[in-house]
Amino acid sequence: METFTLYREHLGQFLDVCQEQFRVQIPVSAGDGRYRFSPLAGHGVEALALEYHRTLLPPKKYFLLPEETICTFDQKGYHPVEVAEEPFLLFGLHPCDLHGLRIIDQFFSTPYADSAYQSRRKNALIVGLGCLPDDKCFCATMNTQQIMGGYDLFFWDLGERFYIQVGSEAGHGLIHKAREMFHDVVDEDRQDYLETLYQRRHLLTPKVDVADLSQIMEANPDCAVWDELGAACFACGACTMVCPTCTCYDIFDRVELDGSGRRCRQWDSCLFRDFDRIAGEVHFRSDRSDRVKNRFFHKEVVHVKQHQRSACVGCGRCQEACPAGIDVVSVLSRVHASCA
Amino acid sequence: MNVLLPLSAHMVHHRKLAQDVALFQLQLDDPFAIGPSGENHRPGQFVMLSVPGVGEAPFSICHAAHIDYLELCIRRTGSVTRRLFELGENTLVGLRGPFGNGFPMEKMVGKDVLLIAGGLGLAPLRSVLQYVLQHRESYGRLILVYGMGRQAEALFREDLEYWIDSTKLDVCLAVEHPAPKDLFPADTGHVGMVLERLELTADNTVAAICGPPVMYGPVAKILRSKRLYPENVFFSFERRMECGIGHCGHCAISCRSTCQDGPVFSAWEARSLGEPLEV
Repeated sequence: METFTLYREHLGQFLDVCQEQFRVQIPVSAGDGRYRFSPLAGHGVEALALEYHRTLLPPKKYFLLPEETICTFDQKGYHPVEVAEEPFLLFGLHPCDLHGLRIIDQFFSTPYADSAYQSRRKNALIVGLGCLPDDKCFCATMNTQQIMGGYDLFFWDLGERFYIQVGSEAGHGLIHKAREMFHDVVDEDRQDYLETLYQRRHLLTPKVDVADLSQIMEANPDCAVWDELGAACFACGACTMVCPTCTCYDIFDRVELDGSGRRCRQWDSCLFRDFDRIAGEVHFRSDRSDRVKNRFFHKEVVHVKQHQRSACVGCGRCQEACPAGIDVVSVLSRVHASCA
Repeated sequence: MNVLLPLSAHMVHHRKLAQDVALFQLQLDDPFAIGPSGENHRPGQFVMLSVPGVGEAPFSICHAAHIDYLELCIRRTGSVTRRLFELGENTLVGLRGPFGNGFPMEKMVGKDVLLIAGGLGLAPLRSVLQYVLQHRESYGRLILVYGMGRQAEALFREDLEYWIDSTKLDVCLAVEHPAPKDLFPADTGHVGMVLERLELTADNTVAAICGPPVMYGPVAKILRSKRLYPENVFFSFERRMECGIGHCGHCAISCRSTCQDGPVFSAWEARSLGEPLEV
């Protein structure tokens, strides 16, 4: 793997160079100890929050927009809309979010490609950033604390310099736009990088036992935990909005007075009561517990069946967002314990 | 290509089949346009029909015959269909598809084909029926069991007349509320009663079922008692299809997409979907 180092004081300059070609997005503080991805142009490099743990919304917001127009219509028919092809660069994605992106990249390419998602995705450069966990992170439980590939560049913070891994030709191209700022890696850099991994590894230990979780859930679908969760959950859908791998959307028409309009899609949630309603007011999962269970089964059973991995990446956003205080780690552990 | 973009089409003709049920004939504006799957539809597949300004809804295709139009048999029941019934002929609509797996016609080859329709469920099964008639020598017996509340609700009456007279298939009607002036010979009761007395070759019969959900449990039970194989019994499921390509999540049954993996599931598959349809 191609590797470089970059001195900390040169990071701003490098991002400025990136800015010439890409709309650069960085993690910035949103107050109250929370963070969001936001344009560098609006904040300046001093706003870059290298120490952030998680953003409010995951990077999916750049690819599957919270709301977008699918097509327009008028008296003549349905017309395609152009997806803005402006290239952008997402700086500072942690391994969990890179895993999340990898999961939804695959999701939106089969069995048909989602053309809007894919055209935004191919216009995006992804720069990863090494991280240290807080009390809500459970990537080590979900085995997403590291990733091989899935980024153009990856930055490891070694203190006064970054250790940078190049993951793609596009990433290589980016380095060579400002080659004079980057240094070839020497043994000392490599030692420091490995030392950083060592330190980090000891902070990242699994929080609960999830061995055989899919098998346990499948064997006992009527576990009492789902009813308890159904009673606690407000079905507000916050967890699904902030989830890096939740992709459900609703399709609807916005109409102008002259009868023309736009067909739109918007983030939707499988926890909403009307999510599966069909004509005649028929519901299939009218119980909240059924809907909560459906969501957990999708992440932990069906996704495992299809892709040999859980669709939960352990980012901790859902428990931060949940007004009922539902904590996914304790859910998994209760399911694991009570069903075993 | 954007699979979510409807192709512009026109509703060229519609005629009433029964109270609140009509047959709509649609034609794509671009005669050379093909759907996202790039092939003609298979029996049991559905399309997404758009009415501008109201929205989009899934409808199964009710014919297998190669005709100049796409035919959909639709009941007035939701917002899209209410508007559709108000539209005059030659108005703009949108079409996407066809989507879904359809009934496994190849699995039925050489076997007796039992079609069990309840009410509007005849629409998708009509395409299976027409397909079997088109390839008559490839299949064994063809039996249609069609249940309805009243004979006035019978759909495709001309077809029914022809099918009843034909020697190519057996037709059994089950009518819950008979009336003195009923046209067709029918049993009084529901499809289950007709099924009970049917003589079937258990190991050589494939069943295709479409109808209201309340019908599925009892039908599954009877077919089980007749010893049909669960992998030879196929149910078509109705769910809220929105995108048609397995992405939007609305039609999931146990996290499987009814629009892509279904809408047709065997009784064996239905078991793993948590549907109580063990045959």
